Amino acid sequence: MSAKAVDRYQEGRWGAALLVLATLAIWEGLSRGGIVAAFFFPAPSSILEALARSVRDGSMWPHVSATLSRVGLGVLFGAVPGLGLGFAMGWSPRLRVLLDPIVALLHPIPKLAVLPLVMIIFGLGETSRIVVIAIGVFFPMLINAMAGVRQIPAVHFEVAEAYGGRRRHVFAHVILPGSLPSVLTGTRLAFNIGLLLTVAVELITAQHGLGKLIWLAWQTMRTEDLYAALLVISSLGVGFNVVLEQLRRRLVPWHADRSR
Amino acid sequence: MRITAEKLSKVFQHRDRTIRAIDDVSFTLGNGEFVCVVGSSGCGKTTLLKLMAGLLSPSSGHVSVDERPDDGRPATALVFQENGLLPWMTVIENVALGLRLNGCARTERRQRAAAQLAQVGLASFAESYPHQLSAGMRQRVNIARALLVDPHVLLMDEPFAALDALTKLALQEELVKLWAARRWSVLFVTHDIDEAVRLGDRVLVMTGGRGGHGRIHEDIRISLARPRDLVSRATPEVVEISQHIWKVLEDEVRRPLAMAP
Repeated sequence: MSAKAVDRYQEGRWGAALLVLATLAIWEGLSRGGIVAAFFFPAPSSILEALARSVRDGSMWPHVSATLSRVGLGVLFGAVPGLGLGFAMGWSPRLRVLLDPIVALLHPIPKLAVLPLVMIIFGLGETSRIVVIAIGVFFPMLINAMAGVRQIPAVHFEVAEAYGGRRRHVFAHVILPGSLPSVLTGTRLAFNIGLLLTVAVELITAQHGLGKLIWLAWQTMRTEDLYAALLVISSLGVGFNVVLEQLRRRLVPWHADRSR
Repeated sequence: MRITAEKLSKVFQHRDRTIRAIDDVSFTLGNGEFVCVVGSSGCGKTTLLKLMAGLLSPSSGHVSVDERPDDGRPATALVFQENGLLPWMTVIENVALGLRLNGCARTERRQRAAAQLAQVGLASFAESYPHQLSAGMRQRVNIARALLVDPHVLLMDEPFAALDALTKLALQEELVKLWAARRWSVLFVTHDIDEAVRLGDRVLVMTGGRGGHGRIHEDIRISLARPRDLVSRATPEVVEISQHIWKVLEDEVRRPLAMAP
């Protein structure tokens, strides 16, 4: 980045922060002044208060930990097989031709729509929830891993082969690093979709979780709690993305200059 | 060591189309010889090189190696066109690739790669990534990588095609100097007639064009003395040979152009 570009970037950041603060301030004023109904749009300060209260009395934590563990398990059981099959389909044209129609057929199904079916098969317990989240995470990972392998130029495979590389070398020195940027995009999608599905599944069926918290808040008409839960969900999403962006910078140094 | 192509043919099957990319090609590359292959794009030059490197297997005919000393050196190593470096490896890792894939320990291969890098003048770029280098520097790395495995025959696939004219001249001189010192054999594929005539002991003129049927039309010996001055090269002999090759290739190059509206 040139010095000028850095300036413009910094300026943009300050601008964005200012916009957020201004919005919050106006919201606060409108809500406190009774111009908008505080029941629908409680003042940001009272939302924060509700959030602080639930953190202090320990009622928030079980929901956060339930949601986090579902996202984690869903990504583990969905993204890892997706990665493996995506690599295989990217590498082997034969396998790709064989499985492409099945993937094309299953991928567009809204994953939440299979929840009833999954519950018939796996029962009403935690297993069904994880299975639905894992299925939702599986496809974006598979498609990104496959695309990541396929966009590696043929010459890079030839280089490894020409210098005596066997299949395991080609995998370690060409396929893995060559597809890494795309795989990291897939990982990011996996966490975002995982979080989305987890909250949705919790709205429908769960004892704990941020989705459940939203449901409870709705049932008891406590809009501050509802907003507080949305705020926590949004922070989790931002947190995933920040961590994965740091990971990308560290793992893909050869792309460093092209990013931004 | 001598490497011989005997009646090589390579047929590609493309859906319902059959393309005979290489059609009955025979030639011998003698020990220490610098042979250039010149032809228009699509005439099968790169296919020929891949057959010689063993990256492709011929549909018929074969490549044979004679009088190969039992010194453990590989028969061939390939210098790729641009983009031949792996972008996720640093320069020194790229150079050491051949040693690494053949089980050479890290310390040793890095030492040898560093020495080879120094020889092509890039010692201080060892830890850079390829995208941080100029096109000319990248091709030096590409050459260093091939030289490090110490092959009997250096196979080069239009290595300087993407370079500007001045960088190209500099790299041609460097290559000839390295070759004069070490005397591996070189099979150098190019579409640049002048380059072929200036560098080669022999020039194989390939015809074929897009439709396939790549053949060696002529095998011309260039009897200019070495070391050659690559800059002031316009001796009557060079001009005459270049003109002759152009006449052979001209029709092929012009044909597709003439069909354009």
